[in-house]
Amino acid sequence: MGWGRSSPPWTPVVAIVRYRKPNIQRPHPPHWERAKVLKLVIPQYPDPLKDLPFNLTCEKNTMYKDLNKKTGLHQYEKVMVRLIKKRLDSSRMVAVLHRNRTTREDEFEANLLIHKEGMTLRSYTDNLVIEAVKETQFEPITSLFVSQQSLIFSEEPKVAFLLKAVRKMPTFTLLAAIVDGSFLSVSQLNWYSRLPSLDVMRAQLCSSLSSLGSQLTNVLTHHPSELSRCLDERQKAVNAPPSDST
Amino acid sequence: MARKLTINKFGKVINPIRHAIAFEGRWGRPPTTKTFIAEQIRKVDLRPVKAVNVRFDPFHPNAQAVREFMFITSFPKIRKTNLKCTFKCDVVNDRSEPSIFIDFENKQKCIFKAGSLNILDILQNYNKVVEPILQKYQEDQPKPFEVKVERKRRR
Repeated sequence: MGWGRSSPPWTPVVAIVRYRKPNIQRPHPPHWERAKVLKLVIPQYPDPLKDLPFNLTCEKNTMYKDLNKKTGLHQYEKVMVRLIKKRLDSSRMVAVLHRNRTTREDEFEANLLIHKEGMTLRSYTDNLVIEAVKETQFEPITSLFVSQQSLIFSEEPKVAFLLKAVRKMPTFTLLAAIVDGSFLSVSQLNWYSRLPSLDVMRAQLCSSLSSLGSQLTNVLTHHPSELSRCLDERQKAVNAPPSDST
Repeated sequence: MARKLTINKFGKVINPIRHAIAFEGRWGRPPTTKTFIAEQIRKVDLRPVKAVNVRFDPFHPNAQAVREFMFITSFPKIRKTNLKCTFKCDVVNDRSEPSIFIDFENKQKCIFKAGSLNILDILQNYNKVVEPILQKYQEDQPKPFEVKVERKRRR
């Protein structure tokens, strides 16, 4: 007798059960053919000191030191450079600060103050920033990277807030900033902070441009309009009925 | 017959007559500018100083020396020598010479025009100026009151 229609549908349940631990520490040797391929695939780099004479490979020789010297950036440093580049490109305002000796607590408080306005305070090693800035619009920053310094990134140019915030951070001093692609000194930043917003400035420019045109037309049409006014008055005086004279 | 050379476990030849030859030369590495600077930093004392004002243009080619001086004077070990000393920094934009103005408590003043000075030069000259003032300062300072503690006699 088979399953009747009235019986409930049977659903298979799969439960994975592990009866022993996986063998990770001492894996079994691979198959002979596979082992041959694996052996062949291992990369073999040429030894730079292999064919050199003993006098050059001596530890005290300067040549030996040069051979072992690090060339270029480390892989991690390259990642950091890419990160800095990304951050520089995405921010409209980049400020450079001189950093005196700061404790972690002070740095955290400064960062907290700035973070509320959507800015970030970061300090990188000099060579990374110089590498990231090479052949970009931010290249003039490199002249400021001679001592201890850190950077502030902001997506919006909040210069007035920056100047106010730097006063509250005693261990940092503002050196310069790049705002919308232009390199500004501290005095220029002070001037910039006093300016109204960009939309207001545009409206002012439009009004000044339109006022110039209207002023010119006024000047040009001054004499003809004066003449026509005088003529009108004269005509009125001539056409007017004579007043009664007794 | 030539003597057999003995080789230690690190692969170096052991000199059999080492003790017969007196050592000549210096132990350790020769001093560099870094060591000289570190030597001067250890001497820096702010006790006779009232105020330190620094003025520099960050775009001046030799603004580094003044900025490093600022960094060094911000060390907590140096700041602790005189907590009343005030520090001020003016960042200007007129390509003027970076300079350090130091006011002493005995109304003397000292100005460093660091347009062509090194950080080592600044520190050396600072210590040279401060040392005699510091000696006089220490002589004038009253000695701490000594309290004699008499031991209780055992009965």
